[in-house]
Formats: sequence, structure tokens, C-alpha cells
Amino acid sequence: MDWAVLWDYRQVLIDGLGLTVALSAVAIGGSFVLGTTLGCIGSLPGFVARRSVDTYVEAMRNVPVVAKLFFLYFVLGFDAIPAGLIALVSHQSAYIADVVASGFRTVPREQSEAAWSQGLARHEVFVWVLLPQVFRTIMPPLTSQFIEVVKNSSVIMLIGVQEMTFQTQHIEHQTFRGFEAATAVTVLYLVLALAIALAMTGLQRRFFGG
Amino acid sequence: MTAAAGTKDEAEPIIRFRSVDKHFGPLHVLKGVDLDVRAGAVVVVCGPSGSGKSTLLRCINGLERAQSGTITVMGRTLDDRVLRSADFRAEIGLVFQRFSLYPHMTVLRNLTFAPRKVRGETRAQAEGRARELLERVGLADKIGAYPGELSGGQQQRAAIVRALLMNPRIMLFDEPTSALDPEMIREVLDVMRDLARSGMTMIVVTHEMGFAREVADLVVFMDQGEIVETAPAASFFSHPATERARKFLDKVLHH
Amino acid sequence: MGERRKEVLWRLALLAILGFVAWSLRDLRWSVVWEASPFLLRALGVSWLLTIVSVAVGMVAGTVLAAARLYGPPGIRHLAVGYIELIRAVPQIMVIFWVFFSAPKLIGMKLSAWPAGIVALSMIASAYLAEVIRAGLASVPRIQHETAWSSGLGATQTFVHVALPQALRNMLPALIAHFVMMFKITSLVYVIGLIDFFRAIVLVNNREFAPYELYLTMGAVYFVCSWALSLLVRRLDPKYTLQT
Ligand SMILES: Nc1ncnc2c1ncn2[C@@H]1O[C@H](COP(=O)(O)OP(=O)(O)O)[C@@H](O)[C@H]1O
Ligand SMILES: [Mg+2]
Repeated sequence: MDWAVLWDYRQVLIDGLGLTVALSAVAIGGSFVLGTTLGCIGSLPGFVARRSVDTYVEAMRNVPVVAKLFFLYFVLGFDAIPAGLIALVSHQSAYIADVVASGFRTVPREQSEAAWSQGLARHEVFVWVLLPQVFRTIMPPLTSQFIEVVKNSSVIMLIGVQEMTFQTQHIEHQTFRGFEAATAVTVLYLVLALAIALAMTGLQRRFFGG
Repeated sequence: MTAAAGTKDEAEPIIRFRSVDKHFGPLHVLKGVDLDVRAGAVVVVCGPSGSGKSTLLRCINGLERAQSGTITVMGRTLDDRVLRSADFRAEIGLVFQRFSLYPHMTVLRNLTFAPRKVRGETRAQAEGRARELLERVGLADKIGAYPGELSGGQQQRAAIVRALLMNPRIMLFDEPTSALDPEMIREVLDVMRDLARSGMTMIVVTHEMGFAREVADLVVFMDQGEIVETAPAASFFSHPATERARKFLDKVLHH
Repeated sequence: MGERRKEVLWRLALLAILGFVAWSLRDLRWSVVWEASPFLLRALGVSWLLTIVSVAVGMVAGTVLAAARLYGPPGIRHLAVGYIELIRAVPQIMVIFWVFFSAPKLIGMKLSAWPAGIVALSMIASAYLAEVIRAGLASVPRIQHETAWSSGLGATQTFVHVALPQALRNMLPALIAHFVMMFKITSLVYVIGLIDFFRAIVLVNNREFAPYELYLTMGAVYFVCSWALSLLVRRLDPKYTLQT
């Protein structure tokens, strides 16, 4: 084994890490906003709202990310980065919508009834009483969903985006030191997952008292 | 209060049901219910599980909407427009069996939240009143605690205080002690008893017959969606008029 | 009135929309898909074969891992936890790469795509299934173990005859959900050149250049396969939420 190759290729790895972090951050933000919005709409009493969200969730969830990615890139002709981001966001937002909707089901109906009875308007009940409780309960599954975004961002290498996983293959092609590169990148992914988990625990402590 | 009970036709009742029908799908839950409650009266609603007590209570503040009949509360006949009014809803306090308090807010914020949002009170105003009332029910030291850190009895007392801070004209209680351990029931009933003495109009669904006997002006007995019997507490307990009420009392008094 | 009626209307509306989309796409060169269909079907068979093999291996290895995590002595337990969490935190492509690239170091020769794919997918399946099985085992009440134990069964016998069958029943929805997950993950063996359904579509497209026809077909096939299975999950446990 030759770990020196990691040092020689440090810039390549750092660039890949940077791109993975950037793609993941944008995709996490996007899928969180879209997924939460859809989850909220899906929890409204109206039949059409609920079933529309269900249909979106089913459609997105049952097709692999790579399939969406290639469709966006090769068929619809998006550039690589937008195609990657749209694929990631459309995919994960479906899962997050489901997580949010199941969060709503855990809030006892007394909560919204009590708030409405106190004279709060429907939207105030939603924002001040329901949403905070939903977020409090879904922090753990939301954390896994965010980590899932980082993992899925690796598929974007298939359309030539030089993120971390791409660099593994690049180093293998140049030096046949793919094993070392793959090990290093694996460690980096672990660190990213850990960072997300820690950040989410911190948020949970900060806003929901543990 | 007893004076009010004597002057029956002096004023319009604060709550009036006229042939109210409520269905849940195929289920007929309230069957032509008529009810009059005078301001200041304490009404205990009892009856077997599933008889429609909660539904009756929830119709008063519009949590459930009847399909036919009229419900008049504080002189206003309930319709969409009336129920959209925050002030109308805020004047009817409600305490559930459980989950009344907002678990993500401290006791203080639970109490001051709606007064500030709905009534536009300043923080200082709302907190001042909250402290005062909490003190009175013996919860002064729990002001910064989260509901999860309180006992069931403490939670219910805090929930009552929260409702009172809206200065309600009517208080509704849906089995407020049913989820409590026996030793906590008393501390909640004590608070409710004081409230009754202060002249608050109260509708209480409960199985606490001791409380009913002592505090209630009127007992409403329901069975299968009908009000079977309405009677002053004393006569309801000493000689119930109907066979169904007799059977029910037999069960709850000597179980 | 009529949640059922609304549901029927909703489905009819969806069908109508799908029908309209299909109608407006009628002039595409569907003959490309038709002519390539024997090749595509064989590739779909490869996807399913990879799924079935990796889930089968994953069940066995996952059971061992779950038992190690639940009942193992400290050293073994930490190894199991480390493996499970490592695999679940890392992109599946990385696992595939890692297996592919590490083979020369570990066994002295390059693995070809098939064994590399199967090993990598089985490693992934065993980590995820270990967690499914662990949840299933945890769902068996303690009293069951104690009863079996006190009636004279040994630890292994208790595990095999008492805990495992009940756990299997409780975890069936999660198991099918992860079967679907593995089916979708097989598309990633693309990176080491295995001709699964996904790569087959790409290959045919490289030759015929009919992207709309082929990629729409791909989406439809993946959707129908996974959706049908996820319906089964719903039926078994309406409250189950899929997370991957
Ligand atoms: N939201 C609802 N949907 C359908 N049925 C309901 C609903 N709420 C109550 N019911 C039914 O209406 C009947 C009366 O309920 P309720 O008023 O809660 O009775 P009680 O409070 O006397 O136990 C019961 O049979 C109950 O199952
Ligand atoms: Mg009830």
C-alpha cells in the first residue's frame, strides 16, 4: 500500500470534498424546504392536496436517483450540476415529505383544538403549535434523510461531476491506487455523516431542550 | 348562585341547544338535544362512554358542528362567521383529559402565549397575571418547567390557569381528572371547586359523582346521544327519575 | 360523503392523465424499445438476480450481525456496530468501488464485475438487513425469551426457535421495503460495468439514440417494479414509513 498517493493528490481530494459539501448543502436545503412544504400540504384536510402529495411521493420514491439523473441530463438536456441538484432534491424531498406527514400524525389532536379554542387563527395554530412539535419528533429521521442526501450526491459522478467519489476513480485511473483513495474518501464520508448528526443533535438541544 | 338558580326566567341562558342533531357518517351521536344553561351555573354531564358527552361539549365552542338545530352561546347563534371570531372562541375556556398543554413551551409561555397573540397583551402584562394565578393554584415554582416535567395533576391545574387567563365567560371540562392517579384528582377538583364558587359558568363532563353532588347546580344525564334526564344535583342523586339513570348511578357509585 | 368515491375518481383522473401522456407520445420510435426488448428483459433479470442474491446473503449475514450487536460480547458487538454504521453512512457507489479496488490487495487478483457486484451488494444488504432484523428481534417481548429459557431451551435454540420466527413475522414489511431499496441500488453496478437494466438502457441508447423512448421506459419499469412491492408493504403495515 502506498498512502503517499493521498498526499500527492491532496488538492484533487480537497476539490472533490468541496464539491460534495457544496452539492449536499444546497440539496439538503432544497429537499428540506420542498419536502416540508409538501408534507404540510399533504397533512391538510383536503383530499386532493393529500392525494397529490402521495402521488408525487410514490412517483419519486420508486425510481432510482440515477434514473432521474440521466433523464434530466441526457433527455431533458440540463447542465450537469443543475441536473444533479434537481435529481437529489426531487428524490429526497419525497422521503422528507413522508417523514413530515408522519410527524403530523403523532401530534395529538387536542393540541390544535386547544390552540384554536384559545382564539388562534388556523395558520397561527399551524406555525406556533403544530410545526414545532412536528420538527421535535422528526429530528432523528430527518438526520438520516440529510445523510442520505450526502450519500446520493455521489451518483452525480456518473455524469462527470468531479465530486469526491469521482476523484476516487480518477486516482485509480492515474495511479492504480484506488484502494487508498477509496479508503480515504470513505473516511471523509463518515466524517460528513458524523458532522450532520452532531449538528442536528445540537439543533435539537438548542431548540427543543434535548 | 343559588339566587340565580331561583330566577329562572330572568335572563336569556348563556348556552342554548334547540333540537341539535349530530352525525358522524352513519353514526347518530346527538339526537335532538335541547339544553339551557344559565350564566353562572355549574352543569355536570354524565353518562356511559360513547353516549355523546364530549360531542355535546365540543359543539358549544364549535370544535364539532351540528348538522341541524341551533346552538346559541353568549347570545350568538353559532355559524361560520361567529366561529371565525377569535374573541368569541377565546371567551370559552376548554380543558381536555390530557395533552392540553403545549409540550414544546414552558409553563409560563403556555400561559402567556394566547393572551399575547390573541388579546395583544404585552409580555409584562401577561406574565404578571400568569404569575399571580399560578401562585394561587400552588404552581409558582413550576413557571419555567416544561409540561413533561410536571405531574398529571400539575399539568391539569396549569391547563385550567391557562384557560382562565383568557378571561373566559364559560369553562368547558372534558373528563379533566380521568387520566389522573387518585391522589392527584383532589388537587384538580379543588381548583375547579374554587372556580365554581367564583361564579364561573362551567360545563363539566366527569365521573366524579362526589364533585357533582357538592358543586353542580344541574346534572345532565346522557345515554345513546340523548339527554335522558336533567335535574338539580340533589334530586338526581337521591331519586333519579329514569330507569337508565338509576342503573348508571348504581354502576358508578358502587362499582 | 364518500372517501371511497373520491378515491375512485382520483384514480380515474390519474389514469386519464397517464393515458393522455401516452397518447401524446405515440409517435415516438417505440420500435427501438420493442426490438431491444429481449436484451432489456435479460438485463432486468440481471437486476432482479442481483437483488435476490444480495438479499439472500444479506439475510444470513444480517442475522449474524444483528445477533452479534444484540447479544455479542463487547468486542464482537463493537465490530458489528462499526460495520453496520460504516456501510450505512457511506454512499453505495463507494462500497462498490472499495470492493472492486481492494480485491487485488486482499486476494491478489482483480475481481471481475459479477463477483465484485455481488460481494458489494451483499455487504450493503447485510448492514441494512442487520438493522431490520435487530428491530424485529427487539420487538419480541423479553418474557418470550425467559419462558423459553426456563423451559430448558439453550440460548441458540431459544434464538432459532422462539425469537427468530416471531421477529421474522414482525419485520416482514421492513424486509420487503429493503428488498425494494436493494432493487433500486442494483442500478449502481453500472459503475463497474455490469449490464443490469440501467446499463442496458444506456447501451441501447448509445447505439440507437432514442433517449425519450428508452429513459421513459426505464422510469416506468423501475416504478412499476418497486411500487408493486411497496403496495405490499402498505397492505402488511399501513403505518410503515419507508426511509431509503
Ligand atoms: N370524530 C369522530 N368521528 C367518528 N365518530 C366519532 C368521532 N368522535 C366521536 N365519535 C363517536 O361518537 C360517539 C360519541 O362520542 P363521544 O361524544 O366522544 O362520547 P363520550 O364522550 O360520551 O364517551 C361514539 O360512538 C364515538 O365513537
Ligand atoms: Mg368523552
